[in-house]
Order: sequence, then C-alpha cells, then structure tokens
Amino acid sequence: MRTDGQLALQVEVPIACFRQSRAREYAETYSVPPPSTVYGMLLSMVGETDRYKHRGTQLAIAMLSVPEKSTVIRTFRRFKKKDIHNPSNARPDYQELLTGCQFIVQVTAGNDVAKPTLVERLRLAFANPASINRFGGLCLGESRDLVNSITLLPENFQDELLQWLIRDEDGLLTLPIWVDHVGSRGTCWQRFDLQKACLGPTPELAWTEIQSP
Amino acid sequence: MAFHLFGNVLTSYGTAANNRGENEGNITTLQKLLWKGEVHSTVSAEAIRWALRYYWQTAGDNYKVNRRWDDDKNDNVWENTNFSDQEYIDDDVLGFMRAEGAKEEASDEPKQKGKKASKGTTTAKRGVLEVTRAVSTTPFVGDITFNAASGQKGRTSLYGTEVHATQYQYGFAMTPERLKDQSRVIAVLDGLTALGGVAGNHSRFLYDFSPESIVLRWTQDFSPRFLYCFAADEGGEISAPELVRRVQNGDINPKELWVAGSIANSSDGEALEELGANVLTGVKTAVDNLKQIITRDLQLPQLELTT
Repeated sequence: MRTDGQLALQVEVPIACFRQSRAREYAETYSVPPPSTVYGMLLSMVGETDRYKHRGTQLAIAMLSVPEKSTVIRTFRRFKKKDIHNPSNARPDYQELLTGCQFIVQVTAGNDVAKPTLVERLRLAFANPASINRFGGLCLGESRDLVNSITLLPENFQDELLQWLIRDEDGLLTLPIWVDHVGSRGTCWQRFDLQKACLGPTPELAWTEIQSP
Repeated sequence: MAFHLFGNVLTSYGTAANNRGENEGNITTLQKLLWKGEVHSTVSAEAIRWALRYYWQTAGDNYKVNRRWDDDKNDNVWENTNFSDQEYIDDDVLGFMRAEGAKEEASDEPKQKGKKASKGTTTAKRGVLEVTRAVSTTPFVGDITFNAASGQKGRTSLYGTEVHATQYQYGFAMTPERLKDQSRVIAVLDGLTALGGVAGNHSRFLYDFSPESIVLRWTQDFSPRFLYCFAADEGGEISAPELVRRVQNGDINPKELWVAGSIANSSDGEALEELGANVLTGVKTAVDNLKQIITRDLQLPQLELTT
C-alpha cells in the first residue's frame, strides 16, 4: 500500500561508474547503483548538502536494464609531488564504465526525522521545480555521469521486468549504504542479491535504510 | 530558484584517431565502449574541457585562464597555483583542486596525549560546467591505417592507427548562478559553439568538434531529458526521435528548447517547431537568441547583438 510518505522514481543514466569501494588502480564498477550513491543523488536533486540530514530514509532499488560494461583508459589524479603540475601527479589507468543504466527507486520516509522529510522535498521538487535551489549537473557517481531523466511514477505502477536488489546475507553483491570519504572506517556495506520481481507489493527485504555508523 | 542550462551537441562528420587510447603493440587504439549493444568509439569529457580552456586562452576576448597551455614546452603552465575563481574563467567554470599532503607522516601508533594526528588539506571548487563523455553516432567497424615513420627506418617504424569516420555527441549542464561571475555562461556558450581540436589525430588532422546540430534547454527542471538524443541511420541522416517523444509526452516544455543546425531541416526538426520549440537552421543565431534570454533572466549587463 503506497502512502503519502512514499514515492517511486524512474531514473535513466546513459554512462556511469559506481567505483567499487576497494578498487585501487583499476577502477572497477559495481554492476548496479549502490544505495549510498542513489541517496546522494536524491539529496543533490533537492539541493541538500548535509548528507546526515535525511538519515533513516529507506530506499528500494529495482533494475529495469542490465547495463553493459566497458573498459576505458583515463587520467587519474593523485598527490605525489607538491608542485601541482608535476607529471607524477597524473597517471593513466583503466576504468570500467556502465552504459544504459535504468532503474526504479522507491523512497519512503522510514526513520527520517527531518521536517520536511526527503520524500516530501522530492514531491515538492516535482510539483514545483522552480522552488528548488540546487546546483551542479544532477549526476549518479562521478560529476560527468549526468542523469538524463528522473520521472515520478504513478502510484499503481507495476512492471514484470524489474529485478529487485534484495538484502541477503549470502548475496553476491556487497554494496555501500554509507560512505566515509576520509579513510574508510565509517563506510558501511550490506550484501544484496538481484531477484526477479513478482507482481505485487515491494518485497520487504528490498528496503534498505540509509544509516551512518 | 535556479536556472539551469543543458545542452546536447552533435559534431560534424570527421575522421577521429589517436585520441588518448592505449597502444596495443604498434597499433594506436581508439577508446571504445559498448553502446546499445554495439562497439562505439568515445572521447573523454576531459578532452572536451581541455579544448574549451584552450579556446579561452586563444580566443583573444580578454579571457584570463589560470592553466595556460605552452605550445613550445608542450605542457601546462599555472599562472597562480593558489587559484582564483574571481580572476580566472577556467577556475570559475571548470573548478580546481589543490591537495596539500600532511606535513608529517600519519601513523597507526597511538598519538601522544594532546597531540593531534597530522592531516592533509585540500582547496577545491567543484566545476560548475559538467560535460559528459562523447559517444560516436555510428558503431566502430575496425578501420585501421598502416603508416611508416619518416626518415631512418628501424624496428618500430611501422605502425598502425585505428580511425573512425563518424560524428560524436555529448551533453553538458551548468547552473550559472554558481559562478563567481555569472556572465561567464556566455563565454561557455561561445566556447562550445567554436570548439576544435578535440577528437583528431593530434595536430595532423583537424576534427571540428563544434556543433553541426545542437539542442539547448534553459530551464528550472533538474535534469536535461535529452542527453544523447541524436540518432544517425546508415545513410548518415540525423534524427532526434527521443527528443520529439519527450516533448510530445509533456516531459519537456518546448518553449525551453533551442534546436539548431541540420536537425532543423529534418522531419523531427519540423515536428519540434510545430510543437512550439525554437527551431533555427543557424547554430550561431540560435545561441545568440538564447544568450539574450539568459541575459534577461540573470539580469546580466546587456549584450551587444553580433548579427
């Protein structure tokens, strides 16, 4: 049963890289968008820069496509020498890219105690985009990975082709639900599995709560 | 309330080669990715941003760039390593990051009482202009040229280069209100419509990366909804069916769209005009028109019309 405190969005990202938390030189990508990345995109959409603000929000992610994976070579920046344009501060490395990423994210207030909740702010953003004070291209992952479109789905949407990201302690996908950008001590992961959908309500185990440690 | 500028650019037809790929033996490869099930060549967003900065450096319009390309040294030279988004257009539009390492080595050993762990610092500004990766409109079929180095021949004189005769399309987004100097949005539009030297064979060929067709959107919506909207058939005919569909189903307000270039003469261009979009055959005229609207909405100093 959908309530006012819940909404479903369809998201399309033509090119993306969801860099694996433990990837070093070779920038591998997760095959699906991690909950922490999707949460960051939703905050960006409403112009919120405090990522702690809507902790407790619950997300349920379902893939609509199987993104294709490619490898490109690109320049990575690192800090080796103080002189900013020292050549050793840039080096070429491989990066995996996903193309054709389409998914649905359901958002519910859950334990989000902020007023208004993230769900309410997202609703307002769709009803009146001019009221939102946000900046930067809306992206998922790196800033060049622009989101092409986000569409609000009708309340009774149903799709047989969905593949839900289901919480499963034996699942093969270990995805971050909170990322610590200074070191990795505060990064939290959860294990998931992709499961075909049955028509009906969102599976209980598809809901993931965004929580910092 | 914030206005956003979104764009999707289709370049003219040309032969791209040698663009930042890795080498495999003595073959210089192109960057490639899987796109709708087929292999397409691609050009990085960094290459496009580099060309934009170089345009400002060489355009002679009194743009001050912090990172200047020295053609003699073949290297970048910084004017001010502390950066200034007030003074330099590239610092303001494209962003920067300066990382300072910790003054002393951090250690896992317990710290002495009252002594803080050493930390590095960063001075950073997120780029206001976001550019996406450019993707070819047609699949890469594996064309290679074989060449020999001039002069004395040796073991490595023979080499091959992958080439792709195609057009590229890429998108961009920016929120001018985030700029220190909002009028620089005009310089971004000028630069992107006059871009060259991105996907060529270094200096040996000229690949004109300026728009053959362009779609621009000036809006308060948070997403562009027309990235990579151009499609090319086998005969090279360009269309934009996805863009027409999005306007027809009400996802994009046609009044917010400026569509220009050869797409204007296609059936999709006519359909967009009928739906109420601003459709013009000249890219420069369309960009000039939009510049006037941006000038009005952001209350910038009045532009002098170039036409």
